[in-house]
Amino acid sequence: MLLNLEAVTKSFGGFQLHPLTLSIEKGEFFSLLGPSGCGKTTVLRLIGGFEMPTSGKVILNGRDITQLPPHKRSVHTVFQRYALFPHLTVWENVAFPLHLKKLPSAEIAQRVEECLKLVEILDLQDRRTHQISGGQAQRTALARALVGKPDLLLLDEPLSALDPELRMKMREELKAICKKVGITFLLVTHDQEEALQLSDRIAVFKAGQCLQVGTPKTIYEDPAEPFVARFIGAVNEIPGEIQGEAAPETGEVGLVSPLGTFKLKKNGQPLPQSVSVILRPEKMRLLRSKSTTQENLMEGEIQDLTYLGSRTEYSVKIGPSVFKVFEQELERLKKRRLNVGDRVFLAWRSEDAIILAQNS
Amino acid sequence: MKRTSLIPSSAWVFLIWLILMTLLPFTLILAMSFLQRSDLGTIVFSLSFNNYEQLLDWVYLRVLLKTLWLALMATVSCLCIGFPVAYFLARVQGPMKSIGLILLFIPFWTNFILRIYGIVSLFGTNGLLNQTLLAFGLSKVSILYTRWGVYLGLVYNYLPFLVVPIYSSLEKLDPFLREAASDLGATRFQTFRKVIVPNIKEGVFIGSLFVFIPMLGEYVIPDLLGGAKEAFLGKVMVEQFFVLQDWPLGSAIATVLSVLLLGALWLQNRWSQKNQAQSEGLFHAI
Amino acid sequence: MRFRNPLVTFLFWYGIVMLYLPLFYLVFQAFLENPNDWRSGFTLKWLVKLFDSSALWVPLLNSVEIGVLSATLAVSLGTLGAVGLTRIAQFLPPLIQTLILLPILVPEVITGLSLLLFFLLCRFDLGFVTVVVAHASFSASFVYFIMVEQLKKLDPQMNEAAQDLGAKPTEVFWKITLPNIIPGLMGGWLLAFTLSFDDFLISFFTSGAGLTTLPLKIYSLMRIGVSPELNGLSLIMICISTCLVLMLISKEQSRKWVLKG
Repeated sequence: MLLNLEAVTKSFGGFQLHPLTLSIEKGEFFSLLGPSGCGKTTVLRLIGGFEMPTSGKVILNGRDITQLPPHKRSVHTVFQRYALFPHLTVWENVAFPLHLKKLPSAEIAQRVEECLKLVEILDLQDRRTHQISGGQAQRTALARALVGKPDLLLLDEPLSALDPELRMKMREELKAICKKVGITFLLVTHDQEEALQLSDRIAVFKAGQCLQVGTPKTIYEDPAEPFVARFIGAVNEIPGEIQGEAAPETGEVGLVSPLGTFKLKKNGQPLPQSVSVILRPEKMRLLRSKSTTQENLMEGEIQDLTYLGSRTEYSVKIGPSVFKVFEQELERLKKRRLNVGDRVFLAWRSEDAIILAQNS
Repeated sequence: MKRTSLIPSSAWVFLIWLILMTLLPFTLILAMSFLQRSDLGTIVFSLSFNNYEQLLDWVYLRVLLKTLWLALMATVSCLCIGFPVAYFLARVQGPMKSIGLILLFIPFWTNFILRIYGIVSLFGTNGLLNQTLLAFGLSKVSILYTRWGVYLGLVYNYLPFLVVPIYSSLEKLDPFLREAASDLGATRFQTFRKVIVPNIKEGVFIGSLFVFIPMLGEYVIPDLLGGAKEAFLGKVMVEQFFVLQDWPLGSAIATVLSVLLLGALWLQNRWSQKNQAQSEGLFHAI
Repeated sequence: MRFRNPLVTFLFWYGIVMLYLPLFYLVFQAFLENPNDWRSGFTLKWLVKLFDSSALWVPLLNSVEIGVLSATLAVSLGTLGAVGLTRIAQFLPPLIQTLILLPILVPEVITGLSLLLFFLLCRFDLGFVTVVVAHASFSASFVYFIMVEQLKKLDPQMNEAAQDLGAKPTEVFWKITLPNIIPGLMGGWLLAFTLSFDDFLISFFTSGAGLTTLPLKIYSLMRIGVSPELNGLSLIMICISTCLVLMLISKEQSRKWVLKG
């Protein structure tokens, strides 16, 4: 393990970070994901050394660095607003950490050039920081943090200040750079899409607490809590009670809910009595008429629809709840168009439901 | 947010310095204004309002009225000359703007004794004006060492101080206001009267106050341009200290002026939180 | 867009000419054979004579020494204040704000008189030291505002970034903080020096009998009347003041340019 957080806590003002234990492997792209104010930036600052934990330990490469000041840690940060030094050129900014280490100037020149090439801003090296664009400043900040070859690179919402198109491009590049340099990246973000696209593993935070750590797929398909499920993508929820024993051949149990009775597939663990069943919109099919199927069926009325080109998003009202469903536009101008007010059926397979204890 | 109880120690050095070197001396003046002078010229420690009552005496009241009148005329003149200058600077674009501002700022920063001397060399007994008059066969005029000398000196010295606040009020106006007004059918004059004037009148009034009040306390201008007979409030005040040795009375005049000034400052704060302090504007506009 | 309104343009130039006429005539006078007659022909003899006399050098040297010392003192004080207060500048209670503004706002006559009273009551000997202290006491506030402006523009994360990249606290100060506030420090120093160099009234009240600065010398000569010596001194004073102002303006411009881009 490259980095271990051992029961780290931090309290200040009205905020409290619950005891956090986390391990990050070498070469991993790890993300801390959560809404603003959830404590993810605090974790970053604890690792960077800008804050001291109230209790617990920060261990980097097997060495306790809890009490070390920032300049003695082999951890560099890409700041949200880049924090480039305005009195230095791009080249000088990148060379700054190497100058501090008093490396021979030939080596400095070589390593700075390498890094500037890596982030593709070699031609900007003599510019002042006010003469470059946001994206270029971002690359400079990245080069400056990478040039010292830290064990761990911290990125504090690095893409949030960029416009959407540039953000997409930088995401791909960030991922490529991470693999190329073999440095462990720790990203803080509130953008779930960004976290899913970039990370090897994600830790989801809420109100100072780490709810779940896992690969993007686990987090999305098998969230540990309704909050995680909701935060990481669109959800439809059915609250209900589990009824009866699992049938031996199918492993299915019954769910009694205000919307009807459905079949659920048990995933091994014993189920609680009261559950919240979560269905991702893309896991549901929209049917124009009732059909005989093994799947669960719900009848409803289209309340709203949004045509998005590649797909159409429907809001279907079933009883008191509204369900989101997507329909891929597979064939051009073929299917009968659905309108607001049309009666439709939603079908979903029992194994696609995420079954969580009903708590929040 | 952090409160003042958390003022860092480095700031205390500065604040204590201000308290010692600014607040304390002003407090001394204030305290002194309630004391008395004995017939021998020493200070008597007995608290009273006698000095302020004395200021209401006809001798001083006449000086006060004369001074007020002269300063008022000078302020209005400054306004008349200064407004077009500020208006031009605010409206003009491109390099002319910086050139204009620099042109304005050089005399602004030129030593003020020199500016007074400039007046002397133009209007003095053997000044440019009188030399010209003589050359045309006319007789000399004596402007200096009359109240007109003081008036000229006041206008000339305070003109830049008034241009700057007017300029910054005009600069703060949204340039689209003018376009919006003409779009809505206002003529240029209507735009000026109905849109521009209402939006800057407070700034201009405060700017005028900050010129008018210091004028009252002016000592050097009446001293050098007004001659011995011309009584002027500021001059009377200084003379209480240096000539008549009546520090308490001099302090009372200084206190009145300071209170007026603080009143203007308070008025300004109340009127326009958004407009920065005029004094800040003075060097921000550089 | 060019501004066209012939009346306003004319009035602007009229105002500017009014402002400059007396100063130009002063400069012109310094080269006249007889300063009281503008047709008397030009000469450099008065200026040459002035450069040989102590009437110029003693006050000039005093002014420069006072300026340097008081500007240095004012910059130290104002910067300390700004470093401490910048982050809470907008939350300062009005009383403290007024206290900082006071030296800028109050007419110099009153500042001068109050300082004189203060020095006399403290039984300080009036002279060089009191003038330096008095000058610093009013220019420190100007420096404070300049430094607050400067510090506000700095990214607070910049110091963290430097530490993060391996800079020790001392290195952060020398390599990051200082280079970024040096334009402000220099501008503030230059402003404080200019204020001190140009000041007449406060020096007049706090200098006592022995000390002469350049403006004081000009004043005392003026009381006697127009003289070639006075015109020469005025010329020199105008030149120095103008240079200082131009330096200040260019400093200000370049600072804006560096920070705003």
